[in-house]
Amino acid sequence: MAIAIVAHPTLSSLVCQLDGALPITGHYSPNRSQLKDSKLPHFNDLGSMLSATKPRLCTFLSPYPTLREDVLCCLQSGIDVIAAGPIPHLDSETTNQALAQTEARLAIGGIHHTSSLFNTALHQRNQPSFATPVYLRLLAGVQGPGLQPAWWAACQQWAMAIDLLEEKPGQLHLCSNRQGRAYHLTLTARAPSGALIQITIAPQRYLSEMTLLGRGGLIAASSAQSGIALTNNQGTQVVHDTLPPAELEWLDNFYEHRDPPSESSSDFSTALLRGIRQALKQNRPILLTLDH
Amino acid sequence: MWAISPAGKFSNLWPNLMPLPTYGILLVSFSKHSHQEHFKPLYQSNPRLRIIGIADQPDIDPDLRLFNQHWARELDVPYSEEIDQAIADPAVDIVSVGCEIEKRSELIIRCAEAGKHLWIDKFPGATLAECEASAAAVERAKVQAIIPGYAYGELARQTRMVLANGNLGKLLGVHVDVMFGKGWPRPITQRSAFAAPNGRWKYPELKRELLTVGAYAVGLIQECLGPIRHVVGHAGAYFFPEHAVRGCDDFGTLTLTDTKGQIATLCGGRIGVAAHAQGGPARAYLIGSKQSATIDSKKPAMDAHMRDYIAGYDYRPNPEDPMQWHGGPPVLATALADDTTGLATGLADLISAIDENRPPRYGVRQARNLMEILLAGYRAVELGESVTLPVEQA
Repeated sequence: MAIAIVAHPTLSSLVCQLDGALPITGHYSPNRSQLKDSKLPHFNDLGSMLSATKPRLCTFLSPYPTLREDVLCCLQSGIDVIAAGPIPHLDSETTNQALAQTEARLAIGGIHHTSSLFNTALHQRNQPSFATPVYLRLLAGVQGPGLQPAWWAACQQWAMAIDLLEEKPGQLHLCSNRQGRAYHLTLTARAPSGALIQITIAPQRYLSEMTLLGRGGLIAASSAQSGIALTNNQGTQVVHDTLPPAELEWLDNFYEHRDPPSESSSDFSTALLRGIRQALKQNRPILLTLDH
Repeated sequence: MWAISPAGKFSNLWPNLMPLPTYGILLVSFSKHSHQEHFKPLYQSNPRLRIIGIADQPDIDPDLRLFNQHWARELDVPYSEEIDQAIADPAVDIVSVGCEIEKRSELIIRCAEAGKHLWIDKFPGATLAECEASAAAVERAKVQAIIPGYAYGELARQTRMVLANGNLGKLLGVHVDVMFGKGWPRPITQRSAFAAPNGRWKYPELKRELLTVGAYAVGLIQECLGPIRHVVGHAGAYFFPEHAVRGCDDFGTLTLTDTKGQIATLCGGRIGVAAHAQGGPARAYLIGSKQSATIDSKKPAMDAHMRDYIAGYDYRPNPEDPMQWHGGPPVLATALADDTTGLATGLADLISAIDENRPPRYGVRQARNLMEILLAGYRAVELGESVTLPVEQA
């Protein structure tokens, strides 16, 4: 009863950590690059991996252009699917058809629910002394270059924001900018309570900052100040992967049939992707009205 | 790693053979909404300056008059309410403008027309038209005028250091959080709809904080980005009932894009004591195509975890100054830089600018543009939509 992984090689460290803890049997990278420092069997296409490893579950940790077709292929073969982010152009009718035929399961997103950063912040935010939230800034890096990883990161951070604040803004302003395949996004919104949200997506993967300000105080975490500091004659480097990744429990829960909480709607993620493209063209903030 | 000049160094490479002139400075008003009190020790300790006197308008309230007179006695200098006469004194080279924001533009124009250089506290006017008039008067008179609050502090210095290094690649965006850990937040029981400022920035019990604090973030963004083209603003989450009941921001956010599509976001506000070890976050995130930088203006710092501060401290702001306009909370860490606000560096720049007959790094024109960005932000909050610059001068 195995798990197959689809992930870009930028996630090699994550895949190695998952491989050490779960019955992972194969890896497929959409850009066909092999993982660094991994003994995991590598495949050049999804079909070969599925035939060779016969997984019960396939996890998609990275977005890529043919993600929809590959997800449907798994579902139609009766393989459970869990994806770290939204699947472009996957309509509910096609999905339901595939799920009904094979009784496979599909889960999308929700990784933050098993993140120690999110859960600790949520715990602190629910302390009476925190009082009511006023401002949330989240700054996160993307897993790799390109529009789709940036879009996934924005969806993930937005989902985390609304779960932390426990309310959903009715609209947001979106800005995007890029240099080559390095994308930078900002999402700014005001929640119904008046709490203000700023989400920033940066091209650098390990960037992670959280500032949650309440009337009673401040909750904050910074990747720049968290981790193991390694110092040599050239300078100091912070090693970030000091805690088990959130993906480990997220994936294990699904594997053990403890399904993750449902993620924000595909309508939101589709509108966000469209908005990013529009903001890039227009070089100005774009207003998105949300129908959660 | 970094090729940097230390803070405050605007020195020439060649030694001066002639003795450098000293400049007389007139302090106009110790208004409680200005930083004149903080400027005074800088002037006193600078060997190139001598304080000539204190002056103010005759139509000030009695408390301010007493305060002005108090400082005149302390400094052993004359106090005058004959403002034109005080400015015209040939011993005065520089006027330090610390009057109420509504009176600044008129004073700046008078001083510039009298050929005096200017040190201006934060805003050269209360409206865009006033700021424009100030900038135009300074340019016409060819005097030097500095707004020292924005481009000289540690946040700006460290930001320039990173940008000069060039390792970020193309700068894609700048994100700045500046918050003052001052005042004592209380439950909000009543709130009004957002009230547009319409040129009124303060009430007896409050100041508009997106303007007051957010200005520092906008000043930094001006250092990094090109001309700002679009502004989105949000406010309406409150810490203080005084602000909520009037619908006046104590906290707000802006999102800006410049003419090249570079993005900036900021927050600015007064968030209450003890929410931060050093009196409030002051951070910038520079997002580049190759690298990003996280800059904390209060770092490097020395932590000081005193048992009494954490376990047994019964602290409340001074009831005479509940919003702590003139004080700050106790801190658990102290920045190592000796000029975190940049005021000493700014003063050195003004003196050099006068010596060399060149504009200072941050002058009235930039401050006028800063006011335009903030006004667009307030308009965006009011409308709930993006506002395009330039805005109408009202």
